[in-house]
Amino acid sequence: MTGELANLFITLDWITAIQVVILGFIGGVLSGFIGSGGAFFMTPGMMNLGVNGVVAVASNITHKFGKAMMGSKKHGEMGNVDKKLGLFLLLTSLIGIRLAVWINSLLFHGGGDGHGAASGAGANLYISAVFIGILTLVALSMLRDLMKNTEEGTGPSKKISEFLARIKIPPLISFKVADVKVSLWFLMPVGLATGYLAGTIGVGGFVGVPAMIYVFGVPTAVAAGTELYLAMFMGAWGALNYAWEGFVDIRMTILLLSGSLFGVYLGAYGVKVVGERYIRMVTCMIILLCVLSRAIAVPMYLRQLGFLDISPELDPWFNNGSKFLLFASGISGVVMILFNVFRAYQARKKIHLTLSYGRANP
Amino acid sequence: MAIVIISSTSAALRKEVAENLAGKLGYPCLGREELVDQATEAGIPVGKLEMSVIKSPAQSEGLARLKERYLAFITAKICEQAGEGNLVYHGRGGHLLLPNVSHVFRVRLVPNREYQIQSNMLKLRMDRPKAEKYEQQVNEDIERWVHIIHSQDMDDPKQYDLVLNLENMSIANTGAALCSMVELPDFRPNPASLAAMGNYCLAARARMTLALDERTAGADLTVSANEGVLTVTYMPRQSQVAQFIPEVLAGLAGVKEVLATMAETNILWIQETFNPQSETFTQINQIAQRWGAAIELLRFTPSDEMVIEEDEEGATAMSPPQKEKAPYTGGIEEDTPEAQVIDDGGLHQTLDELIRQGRSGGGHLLQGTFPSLSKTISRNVNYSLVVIGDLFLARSKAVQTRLLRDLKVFLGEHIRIPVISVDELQKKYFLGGKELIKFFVFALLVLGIYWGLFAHQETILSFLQKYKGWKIFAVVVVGLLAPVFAYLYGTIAHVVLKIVKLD
Repeated sequence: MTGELANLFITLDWITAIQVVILGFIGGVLSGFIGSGGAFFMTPGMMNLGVNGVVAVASNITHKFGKAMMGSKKHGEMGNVDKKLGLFLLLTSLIGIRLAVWINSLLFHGGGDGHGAASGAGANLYISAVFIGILTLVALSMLRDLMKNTEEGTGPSKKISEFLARIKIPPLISFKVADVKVSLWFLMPVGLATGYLAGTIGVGGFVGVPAMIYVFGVPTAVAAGTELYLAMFMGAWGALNYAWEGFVDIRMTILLLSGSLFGVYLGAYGVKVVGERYIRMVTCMIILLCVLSRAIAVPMYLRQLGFLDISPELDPWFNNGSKFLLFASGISGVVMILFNVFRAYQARKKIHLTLSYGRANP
Repeated sequence: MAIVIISSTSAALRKEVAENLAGKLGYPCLGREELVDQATEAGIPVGKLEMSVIKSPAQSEGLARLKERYLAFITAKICEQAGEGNLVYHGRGGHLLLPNVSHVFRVRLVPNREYQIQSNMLKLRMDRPKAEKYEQQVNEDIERWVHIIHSQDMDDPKQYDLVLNLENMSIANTGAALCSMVELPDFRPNPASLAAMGNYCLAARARMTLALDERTAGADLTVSANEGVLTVTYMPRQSQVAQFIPEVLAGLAGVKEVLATMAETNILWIQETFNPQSETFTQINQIAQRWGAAIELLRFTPSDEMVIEEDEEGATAMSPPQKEKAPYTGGIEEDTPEAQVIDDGGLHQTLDELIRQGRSGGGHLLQGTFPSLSKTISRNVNYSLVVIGDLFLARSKAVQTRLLRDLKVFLGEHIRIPVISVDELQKKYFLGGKELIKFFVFALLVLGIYWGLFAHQETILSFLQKYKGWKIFAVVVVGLLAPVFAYLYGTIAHVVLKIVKLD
């Protein structure tokens, strides 16, 4: 890679390509298992491989576009997509994405200059900060719910929906498939936040799905299906915006898809064979480790921007430490999921499923 | 003779009418509030369930389990009180508890709104706007409750035998009107309705027994009953409970046999006649094996009198079935019914084969119309697929095809489960020649994309980014390549997983 290209994209050898496919596979398994995009793993993973933050986000959102298209088709067949709700959220989410692309581009071109630092350090720091902030919030809420809920628990916390259910600001819009009535004034900020986060770190689903469940009262399956439908348009819009800016590394997109489209099926199969509590526990653990992994890389970006006075020789240590933790979290999570998938697959073959107890009480 | 179930959003009104009617008929009267107290005493936290359902409908395993226990408790108690008939029950969605039991007379009372508001103003010492708001909120909460607990809309008039608007009717006259209707022969118990009710009651009692025993209390179980045969399905991750199921149910009266099937999900197969040697049986069994599913059989015999008429707009209308009238016997009945050879359309034979293969999800019979079929399909069972097989066999081929298509559309609109006909099974779930050709063609295209992209990395990346002046083309290429690749590669992945039976 030479000239401007070398500044923007990494040189791709076999080892790196395989690592990207593995990232895609792990992200896909997590995505199928958790029901979210999996970008929380893939984006930092690519950054650890030396990909610029903005290119990582751009390539990931482009990959998400293709994947969501396949996923929403499947959910649509199951009747889990509320297209009207998706389209209402889309209106403001497109603005959110455009805003995110604008900020990322600005920081990419402006950050890192004047300190002999790598170009894009500003964008990298910004993406990492948003990533750490949002995912910490998500993981801590999940952890709190997990600690509170007993076996007989009736699900996640409902404080927000209880509060918002009492506020009915017109115009109220009725959604037939989701079977809810929601004020346009609540739809707009949720769409905006989903779009902004999808455009900034590629994990809009972490806001969109819980918001639909907790704030609007949408059934979980419909929330996941509608998010994928929304993600298809958001992904397309994000991909086109980033492509316009020249940030999409199509090689990364193709490699991510090569791993994730297999992984997502296995993850979805995993959901059928493990309990809800276990799913939430694994998700929580992986997210917290991803946050920690990203936090380890932050001093490196701070140094590159001149905010921290440490030796540049420490950069590989920060980067490798972050990479190790990320892969360790992803691989251990995937091993836990695949172990259950494999066990269920084997059990399915061996066990005689119907046990007949003739005339138990004649 | 009949079970009268009165539903209304006004608890006071339904109680008053139910008590009036019960007094006139000499039937016992039972109310939801009474059963809720009993359920709470039995360890079912109905208050907690109510708060969860009304405040936020986010579903969870815990909520689903609680909901199922509550429904089983209420059904079991109604059955206990009713025996073979004679009960007036009043509640919110009680009319949905015993679907297709013809001696249940389902009544909806629409309260006088003005009266309700005035009552609220007096009782709760509210001003009019607050009382109106309160009334609206209570109605919405009850509608939500029925919707979440029964997965049905309580305002659908098709669920009731009678909807009465009480704006201009007194309680006494309402009671008198209901009293005369209950006496109609349509609501008299008959062997079929008693058998159907017996099945619901046994399943509910079994579910409650399993929920109250600590060995099986924490498991997610689906229970169905047919002629004393109980089918209990349990999740693979809870396989340790399997050994306790027969022990727990051993003391339950009326149980002839217990089938415990491990299943992640259920496939419902609706057909008029079943044959375990048929190709459809083999195909559905293979899908069930892949999914770890139990197969539930439903022998559906469309009513003889079911007439499909084309109305002026060309829409299909269906007239309700006319119940068969019993010949007049002067009240003299045979001591012992005549021994009859019942044609079950191969149901038992197919069930036996499913039990042998470890896939039985139970089986039952139904004669009726499209709506009665829809009512029979429980919204609380985790069905992944409904397969419509050979039906309307007495009709000509063209009519059969049309009716099957209509039924598929009807069920697709009324139940949120994928509905498929047997003709589509092969195409959708099995590998055919066409799919294999598609697989190889797509694989070649994917390899071509890989080669093109990785052998010419620099050229393509230069083209895609803005410095070369091809901005708009770059956007178009990215916008097309990503979804096209996802489609090609996604199809390949799906075929591969189909081959290893992990789709």
